[in-house]
Amino acid sequence: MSHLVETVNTNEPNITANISMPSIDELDDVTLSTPSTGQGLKYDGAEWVNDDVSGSYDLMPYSMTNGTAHGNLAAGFYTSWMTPFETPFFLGIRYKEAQYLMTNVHTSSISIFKKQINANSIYNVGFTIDANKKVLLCVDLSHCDADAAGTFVDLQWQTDTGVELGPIVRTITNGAYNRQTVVGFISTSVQTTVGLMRINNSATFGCNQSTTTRQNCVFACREVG
Amino acid sequence: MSHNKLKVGTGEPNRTSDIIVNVGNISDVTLTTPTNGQFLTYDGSGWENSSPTAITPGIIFAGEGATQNYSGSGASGVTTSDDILFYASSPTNTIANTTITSASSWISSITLPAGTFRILAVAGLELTASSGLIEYRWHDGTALVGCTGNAGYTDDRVGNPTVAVVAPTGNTTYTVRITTSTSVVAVASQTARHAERGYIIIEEVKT
Repeated sequence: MSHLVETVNTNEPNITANISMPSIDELDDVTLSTPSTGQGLKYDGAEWVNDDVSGSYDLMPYSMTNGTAHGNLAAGFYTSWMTPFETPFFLGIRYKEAQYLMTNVHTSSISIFKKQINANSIYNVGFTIDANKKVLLCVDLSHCDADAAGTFVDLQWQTDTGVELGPIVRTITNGAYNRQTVVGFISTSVQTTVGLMRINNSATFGCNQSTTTRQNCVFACREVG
Repeated sequence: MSHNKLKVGTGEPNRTSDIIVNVGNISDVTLTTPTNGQFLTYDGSGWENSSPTAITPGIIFAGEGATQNYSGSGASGVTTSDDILFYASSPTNTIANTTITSASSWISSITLPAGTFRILAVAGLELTASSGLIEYRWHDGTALVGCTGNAGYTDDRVGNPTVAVVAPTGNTTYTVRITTSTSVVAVASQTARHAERGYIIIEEVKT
């Protein structure tokens, strides 16, 4: 006749019928992989594993075009057709593919602010940021290839009430120099919408967009301490 | 007839009498629907699952696009080995134990404590000719560090930064130093391009 022996995570009783408590690694839902000093137990969705006890960057929302080069807009297109839609911000990146790429990150405290004029005319223009956030703002954009050499637009991060948030940056059609990065910074006390403001431009300015030679355009912001 | 069932914590025997013990069965652990990425942390009396606290890096940001003439900066010059000043009426500084040295809102240097930092600067000093060029790099008081930034005659040629990752072991003062100066407008005649288009970003790197 055989008897079932009580075990705890396969640990059997010793001669005094004492069953050792399992070590952390012996717990059924724990898998350790050469833990090092200072690590903790982190849940990976199915079990607990050792990992560095690290904080996390709260968020870094961004949006980008998908590398598709769109047809160049005619010289002067922006000043002729787009300025009425600049409420409140410069229409930074023309985009007309699946719009989810414009909003692939949306958190509770920072969201992407966009302007949709119609199905083929979607623009990412900035972010809406909750109160009490410090945020580094960045957009990397290119100038329309079809514009004549020297065609330019000066841009600056501002709030929707016109508070300046960073330096003025010029994008220009000039061969290899038609790509620029525009940075800014804001510390919010109330929920605030920020975006690019057009400071100045040449009359023949077409549009910033994903172009044949400079395909990806990226809006990003990063919460800082 | 009932029998007492042997338990370990809240872990009960299965049909082969093996008592399966999970993290949540331990007496001093309280799990509340753990989610991906949570840690087991001690709350003073027991262990509980919680999300890690967000870490946000400290930052210095100086460059508000103000229209301020560089002629009023107090800069000593715009030739090689001169330092470039940056205008910021209220620079952001959330890096502890850091000193921004300025006069009349023109920043001449930044002193960083021990740590690791990514330092970036863009300068926009004006030039007298399309063939002109100004190049600049970060300087740590002893040597030039990082890559070279540059600016050209037209405004679209402003934006090429000097960038370095530095790891001072104690208080170290950094400036942006001119390394090439060709056809640069004299300080007394410089207008607002540098204040409008120049900036400094220093980010704390958590290591």
